[in-house]
Amino acid sequence: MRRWWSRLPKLPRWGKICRNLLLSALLLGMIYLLQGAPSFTLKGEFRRVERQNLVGPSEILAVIPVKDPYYDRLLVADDGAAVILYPTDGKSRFYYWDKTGELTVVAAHSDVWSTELEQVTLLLFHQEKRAAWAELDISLTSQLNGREFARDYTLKSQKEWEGFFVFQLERSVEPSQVDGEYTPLAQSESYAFCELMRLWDNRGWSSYTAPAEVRIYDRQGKLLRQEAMVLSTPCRK
Amino acid sequence: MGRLLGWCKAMGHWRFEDWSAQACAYIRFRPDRPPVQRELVEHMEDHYEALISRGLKPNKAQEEVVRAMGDPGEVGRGLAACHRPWLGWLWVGTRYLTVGCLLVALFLLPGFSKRAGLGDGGFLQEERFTQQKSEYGRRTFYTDQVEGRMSSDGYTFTVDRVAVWSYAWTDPDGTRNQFRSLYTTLKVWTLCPLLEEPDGVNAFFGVDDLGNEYVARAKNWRTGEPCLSENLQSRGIFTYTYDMWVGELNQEAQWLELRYQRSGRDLSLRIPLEQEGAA
Repeated sequence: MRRWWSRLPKLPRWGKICRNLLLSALLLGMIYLLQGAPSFTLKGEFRRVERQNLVGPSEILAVIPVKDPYYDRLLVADDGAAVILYPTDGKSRFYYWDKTGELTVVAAHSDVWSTELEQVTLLLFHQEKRAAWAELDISLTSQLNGREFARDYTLKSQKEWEGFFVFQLERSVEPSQVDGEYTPLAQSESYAFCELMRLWDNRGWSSYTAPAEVRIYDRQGKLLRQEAMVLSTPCRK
Repeated sequence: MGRLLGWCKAMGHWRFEDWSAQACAYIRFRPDRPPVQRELVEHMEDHYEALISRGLKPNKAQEEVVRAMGDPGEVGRGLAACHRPWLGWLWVGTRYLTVGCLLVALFLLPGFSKRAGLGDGGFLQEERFTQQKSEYGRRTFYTDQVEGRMSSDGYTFTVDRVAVWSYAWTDPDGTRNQFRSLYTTLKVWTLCPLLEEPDGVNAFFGVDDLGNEYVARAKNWRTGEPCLSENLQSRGIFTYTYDMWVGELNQEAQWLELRYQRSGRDLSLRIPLEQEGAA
């Protein structure tokens, strides 16, 4: 061993520095790969997950803020015939939904427990160039522990991003707590939110349906489009 | 006499150390001082022994050695010019960096083997390929490798093994039941170290020669139609192996095509369901 070692050429100090730097660079590269080669930007991360899902490259429309305890940003992309939602929660979850005609409604996923879900982020994709604001009427029902719940909501959204509107469906019932738990009515409303959100869950089938109506207006308040629809689980190829 | 010589040598060593310490004090990069000092002392001792062997007295020899070395200040300044502190500190820094990186890499290695799935359990559908018969059915066709491959997004897909099983049984009310199932292993290769398992596999669907469609699992969970199911079985460094199966194949179908048609991609790979030349 010593003989073998002594046969190595003696390096001058700058040679040793170069050797150490080279070794460090190789080791750093190895560490990067061992760590799963994380992307340095959200866009880079999204492009990689997109490749893993054998889709894209799609057009990234926006990265929007989301009120969810598990992630705060949602990347929204358009893949031509489909829309993509990519929550920035580090779980590489990828939601790919075929468009349902000129108007497509999808909900952002949340990991919040079904009776504690306080809000749902709904996205309406459209092709109206002159759209300035939009309204979404939605009727939700649920049945939790024998308690019936039914409520109509009217949501408004100003245009912030090109190609889609964002609606925040928030609790209408006062989320007061009794003995640390939400009141049955608040739980029923959260459960209805959860049923709605599950329509666009990647894993799991839902027979839930929610009647809705979309109205899109221009700057002058002129109605550009009005369409009634039933929100249900979209089928994917 | 021997003692006297030893004492003189020790005295000389002390003088040489003193001289070399004075010279080395000019070197600003402190870690370099001890080795340079050692080298200088060794050099002076060699010179001293050479003078002694030529017959010089120890005292004279010591003086001659120190005189020959010259002014320690001048030698020290020369040494300081050679041993630049920034180069020294850079060298020390890169040593720590290398050792640090090595330790982190070693720390992460077990995680890597887990990620790569080394040592994963056996093939979930193994019995489908090794057995000839089960309680309810028998294997009618088996092949090791299907010709052809599909490539997309840096992944290459091949079908490694195919087994077709026929099941038949009679219900207590006399109803005769019969169906066929397909079991395959889909191997996915990627040389790109940045890519992980291809999640898009769950959007693969099948179409047989009679035009029957076996929908992707993701879709089947919603519709209940006959489907092509898949399950990631193992990971290698460059490969991912999936179990893929169709629970209920058409009885008459002779081949089934694996297909992927999404986002502008159109992939297909034909899997035979009967042995070539078989009646």
